[in-house]
Amino acid sequence: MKKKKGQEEIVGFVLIVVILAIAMVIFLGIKLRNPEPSQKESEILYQFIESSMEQTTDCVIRQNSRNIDLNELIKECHSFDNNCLNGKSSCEVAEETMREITDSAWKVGPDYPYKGYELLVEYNTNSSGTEEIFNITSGNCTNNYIGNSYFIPQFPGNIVVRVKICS
Amino acid sequence: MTWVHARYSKMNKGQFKIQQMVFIIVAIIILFGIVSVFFVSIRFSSLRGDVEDLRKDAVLSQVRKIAGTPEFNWIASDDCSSCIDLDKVFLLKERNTYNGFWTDTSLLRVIRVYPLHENEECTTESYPRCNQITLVNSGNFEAYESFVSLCRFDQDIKQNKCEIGKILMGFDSVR
Repeated sequence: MKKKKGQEEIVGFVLIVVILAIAMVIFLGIKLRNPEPSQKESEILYQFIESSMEQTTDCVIRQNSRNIDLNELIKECHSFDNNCLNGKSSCEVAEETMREITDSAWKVGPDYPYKGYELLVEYNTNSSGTEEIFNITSGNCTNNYIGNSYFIPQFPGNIVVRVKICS
Repeated sequence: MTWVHARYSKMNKGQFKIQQMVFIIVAIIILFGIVSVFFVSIRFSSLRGDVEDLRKDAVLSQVRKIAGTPEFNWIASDDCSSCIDLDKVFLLKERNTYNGFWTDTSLLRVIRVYPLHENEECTTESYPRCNQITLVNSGNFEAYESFVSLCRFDQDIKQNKCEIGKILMGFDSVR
């Protein structure tokens, strides 16, 4: 009888330890298996997009008119996709210019602090949703990144430029 | 005598049980304590990182504010707060009257990001086909950079032209 009571107590103690261990394993398992994507809004990325939108491109749409800025070129690409006087389409020049600017500003790769980037330009309206204009990626992006967005008003919605730099 | 022995033995057993319970409670409290310390230390380490990021963002905004000062700002466009007049900045470099003007700054440099040219530092011969204009460079500093647009009138295309660049500012570092 005495032996049985002692055994019961040991079983109780072991049960508590086992329950705690299982709870710990489940908690750690969930935490490690699904790391939440951590985006930090970055001031420098906002400054980067804002400044790159002022970039004067090589594209002249009409004879005797001026070289247009990147934000106007993106609007042109979304609305009409006319060709520039050099024969390239406005979307092609916009994408090429944006890629070259991003490559110059952010060195990415396995040997650099930043492993990759993703740049997405899309058109958003409340009524018809989202329409992708172009996207540029380089390197490898994981769940750890800094990012920011820039809005260009284009009636009835907005053109949104989103940039993610992954570390 | 037998009665005293039985009573003593019963009390001993009760004490042992209380001891056992206290041991389990203490063990559980220690376990929870360790887990809490672990959790709090992780939370605080990320909090410290967040504070550092916010501080950096504030410094970056301050660095960018220099683009709005009369010595740098681009007045040809009303709606470009990030634009600086590259011709003006280059002229500042040549003027001796501006020596010692930025007293709290150990480094003040404007860098072209895209497109890059062959010449690094701008001189009267190489301007505007050069990549950087250094206004101040002295001592030890901790540097911060901020993206801006470098604008000027371009003779080749006969219009205003803006290109992406950076302002680099260095502040005295504590050794």
